[in-house]
Amino acid sequence: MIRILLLSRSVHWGLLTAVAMWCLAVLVGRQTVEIKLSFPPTKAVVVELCVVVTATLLAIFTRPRFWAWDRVARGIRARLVAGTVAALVIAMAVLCVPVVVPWLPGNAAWAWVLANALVLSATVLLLAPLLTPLPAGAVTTVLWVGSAILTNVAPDVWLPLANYRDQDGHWLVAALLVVAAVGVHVGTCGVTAWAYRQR
Amino acid sequence: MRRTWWPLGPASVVVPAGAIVVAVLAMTWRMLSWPYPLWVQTSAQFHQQFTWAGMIAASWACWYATVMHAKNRIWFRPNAPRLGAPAVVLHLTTLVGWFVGTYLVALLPLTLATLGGIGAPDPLAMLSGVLAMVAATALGYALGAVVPSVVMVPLVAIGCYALLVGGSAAAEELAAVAPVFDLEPELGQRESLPLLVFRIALFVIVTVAAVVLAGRAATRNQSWRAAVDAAACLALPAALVTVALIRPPAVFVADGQPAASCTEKRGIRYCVHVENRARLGELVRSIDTVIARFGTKPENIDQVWDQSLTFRPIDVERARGVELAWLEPDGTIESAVAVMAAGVYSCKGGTKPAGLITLDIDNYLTTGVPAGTLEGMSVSEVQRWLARFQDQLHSCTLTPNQLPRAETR
Repeated sequence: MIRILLLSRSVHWGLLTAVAMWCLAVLVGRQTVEIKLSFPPTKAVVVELCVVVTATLLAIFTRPRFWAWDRVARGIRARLVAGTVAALVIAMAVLCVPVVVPWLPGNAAWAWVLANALVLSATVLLLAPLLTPLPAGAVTTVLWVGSAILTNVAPDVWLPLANYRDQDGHWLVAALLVVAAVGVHVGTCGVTAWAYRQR
Repeated sequence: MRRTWWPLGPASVVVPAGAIVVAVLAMTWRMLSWPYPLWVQTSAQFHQQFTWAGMIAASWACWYATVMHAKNRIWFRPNAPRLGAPAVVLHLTTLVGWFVGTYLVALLPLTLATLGGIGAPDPLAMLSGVLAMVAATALGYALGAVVPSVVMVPLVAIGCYALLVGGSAAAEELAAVAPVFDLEPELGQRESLPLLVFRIALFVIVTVAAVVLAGRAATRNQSWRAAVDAAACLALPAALVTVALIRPPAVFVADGQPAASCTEKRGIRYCVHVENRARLGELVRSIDTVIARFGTKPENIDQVWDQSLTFRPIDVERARGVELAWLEPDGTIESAVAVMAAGVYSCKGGTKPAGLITLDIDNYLTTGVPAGTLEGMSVSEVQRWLARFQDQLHSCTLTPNQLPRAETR
């Protein structure tokens, strides 16, 4: 039964994608996207973008294919599977950051990037059951770029994403978003009826 | 109206088209107010703006194809007859029409702002950019048709991003293949004809290959044949790309020896590209302020040239004592005349007192206020000192007792 559950969530494809994305993160993750609308320029770290893409791809692969049955049964097992998968996907996407760390200079601070990664991947997973995964990833990417632009234009505005200058991760926000994301997956068994119809 | 958009609704095409307009306008916004727009630069924007527009077009066309060819569509039954190429051409006509159409609309303000600008438009460069957009849309659609899963959409977006990163990392080698160049051409340069012809041919072939591939993918349902088709259709573009990587054509070529428009002031000869002649007075004014602060003619500067005159090799005799000035299209004029007159580059390292003073002199020449080691000296004292010691300053042979106000230290 566990094998069937794993296969129904395409865990093998998910793992393969995660490994490929970690390799990609090692290759391009240390680059930054510079926003130069006002001085000093804001640097958005590309590994955060890798986290969003990984979370989106994993959310697509691990979508609940038994949802039509789960929804009728409404059992504890379906909710448990949905919650576990959501938590694992968030964790796998966030792992893009630690795999880049060995290639960083020794004194580089990276904990704030990890906090940002948690915020971003939890956002993707929070939106995925509501909007379907691809729009969730697109919205999160737009929010990521938007927050970098806002940091550049108005540095004093508080944002859930830490930036290059403060280097002060918002761990509480990250924890709340993770709990909310897992909660939505448990509550909806992985997808809402509206999003299911959009397949 | 309803039938035209069936089954996805108008938002499926209008939303990305709007995003393309916003992205292109945001990227070209500041260029609209430039007082001296260059046609060669505006023409290049037709492919430079591919940065976001191409990514949006390719990813969205891919999504469109994944939805239209999704396996749960009623026309995707194993035995259902499928239209293939005609359906693909119909979809792509809509997508290309909207995406490329709005791309051109978004570039219209820049083109209008450049009317009456310097130089002449380069239609081939413009065409190459438009064809790059068509190729990106068709290729994104074909990839979505071959693997009809939403997973392809972020992958196509990553591919577009990789093309951007690759294009800026290996600028010279990938210029023939990557739609976006790392550098933009300036006055006195243009994109080379072999490069443009190659790029146009490549983008046309990619488009044709993508249409054929999508057509075949939309005709039959066995997935194993998809790989064979993809390999067959993408072989020719891949061969072209390989050729371009082995023998990359020159990216920019210099125009023929440009005519110069010159004038002389305080023994310094100022020359600009003939197309820039309206800005000669402005150049003289901006540099002459520095020379006036120096007091006499600096001995290491005899001429100041517009940088657009220097894309061709120049004889050593003609270029004696030349300093360059960059007459930017946004109205600013950049030059290193103050730095050279202060002798900043003659002292390597800059830790010696003779090296430190050059930075203070550079500061004085740009601001007009003696500061740092020159603090407390009047302008005429600084000018007298410069007149007396400029040889030593330019050769970095100042001794401590030759420094300004050495007697008071």
